[in-house]
Amino acid sequence: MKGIFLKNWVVLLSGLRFNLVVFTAGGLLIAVAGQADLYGVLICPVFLCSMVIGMLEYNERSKWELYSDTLPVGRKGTVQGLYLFSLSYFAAFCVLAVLLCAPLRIFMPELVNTARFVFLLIITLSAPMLIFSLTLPVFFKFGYKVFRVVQIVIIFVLAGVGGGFIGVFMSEQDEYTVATDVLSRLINIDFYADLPWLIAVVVGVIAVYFVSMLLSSKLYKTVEL
Amino acid sequence: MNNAIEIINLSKQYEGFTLSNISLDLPKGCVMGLIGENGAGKSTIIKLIFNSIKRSGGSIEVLGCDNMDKDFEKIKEDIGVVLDEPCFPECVKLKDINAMMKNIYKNWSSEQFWSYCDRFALPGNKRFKSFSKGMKMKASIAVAMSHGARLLVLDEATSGLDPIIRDEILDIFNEFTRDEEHSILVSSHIISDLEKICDYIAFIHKGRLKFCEEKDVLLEKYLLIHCSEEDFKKFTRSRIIGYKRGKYEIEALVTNGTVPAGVVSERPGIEEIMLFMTKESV
Repeated sequence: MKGIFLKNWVVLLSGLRFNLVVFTAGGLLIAVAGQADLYGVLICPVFLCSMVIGMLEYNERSKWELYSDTLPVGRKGTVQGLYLFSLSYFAAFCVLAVLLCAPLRIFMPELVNTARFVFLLIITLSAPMLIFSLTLPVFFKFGYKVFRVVQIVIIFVLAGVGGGFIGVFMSEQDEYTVATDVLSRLINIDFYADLPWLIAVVVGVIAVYFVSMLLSSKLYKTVEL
Repeated sequence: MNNAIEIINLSKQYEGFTLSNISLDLPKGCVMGLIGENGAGKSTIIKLIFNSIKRSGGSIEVLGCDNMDKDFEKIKEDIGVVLDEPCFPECVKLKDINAMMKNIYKNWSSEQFWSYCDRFALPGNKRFKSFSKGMKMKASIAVAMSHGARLLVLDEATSGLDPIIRDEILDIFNEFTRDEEHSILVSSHIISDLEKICDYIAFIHKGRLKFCEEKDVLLEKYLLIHCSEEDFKKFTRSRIIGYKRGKYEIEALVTNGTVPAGVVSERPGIEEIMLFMTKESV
């Protein structure tokens, strides 16, 4: 598993230099995001997902999965390696955002709202984790091509629905004041009051991710390459 | 355990293709060549060895371990593999491959890897996508040889290489099997290569094992004859393996034995044996 985990990082970093730019730009965006930038910040999960898809595309072109079967890693190790890699990749993005946020918080405190920053970070980490929880079992069962289609459909549906809602509210409200609505609750989050709720979301997403990993392991065990 | 690979009654059914009851043993310290036409089932056997596909029946033991056993993952530490297509992502460089493999194989030797890369004149600063097919193959061979493997499984490993490099790689394989603990299973279309290095030849035709024999015994077993129609009739049907009727003469593969006067006979190569066994069987 460790070998596959590191291999995925090597491929990602050596093949997708653009990642670093996205990483930095996205991290900065989250670090300084105010309420009006929420819409823009939602693009970050989509970018994060597409980077991992890019890495898997390299694997697909080189028939890595077939070769991987000949290595002393096992199919379970291959699955765990990919899940752990994706998780660490999303987490690395969040760490970068924190690192970018810290000096801004010190030198330009008016620019950074810590509560909002943490909230955005949770969205940025949770959204791709959920997307991958749904789609990685498809990848391991049906292969890259089906996975890519499903992934893109899910991303666009989520982005479209989410973006559409925000767009509607942004056009109808001068400020985000729809207190009773779920979306408005997200936007006008009171970090400290909603902390238990946020923790529940994080724990839930991690649980779904873990269940997805077990399911993928089970599915991949019987797949013919 | 005297065999590096033991395959017993191996079967696999696909739609439109059946691999049936393949049994072969690769003794330790030997090289076995798998030959056969495209789609004969050579790559299927290799995939079955690594459980990349499910078998319909039979058993496979590799280095003394059943390949369905949990311990087989550990045994893979001792197997070096080169598949017909180089399987490293295009974006990586050799140093990346070294970093990857260092974390995959416990016995990985970076020193050995770089020494093979130097020997093969592989450019360390270029990405895999800019490598020629031959260079990619050489990189795959360097990987397969750099973790102390006891068994090499090579699927068309020398395809795409020029004759000089092929010769050099065959020398490396020969060196590898000098230690009697080391064995090689190699499938290839370049039969001249197999003739140079193999101790055993297994011929797969349409999913069936036609023969699996020691190369020297095999080459002794048959004669290639050129004769007239009349002389050809003097051979009993049981001696004739296959024949080709030309404009002026008949070329045939027959089992070794006495040859009527006037019939030109010579030792066939493995390629000729294979061709006559598949083309025009009597």
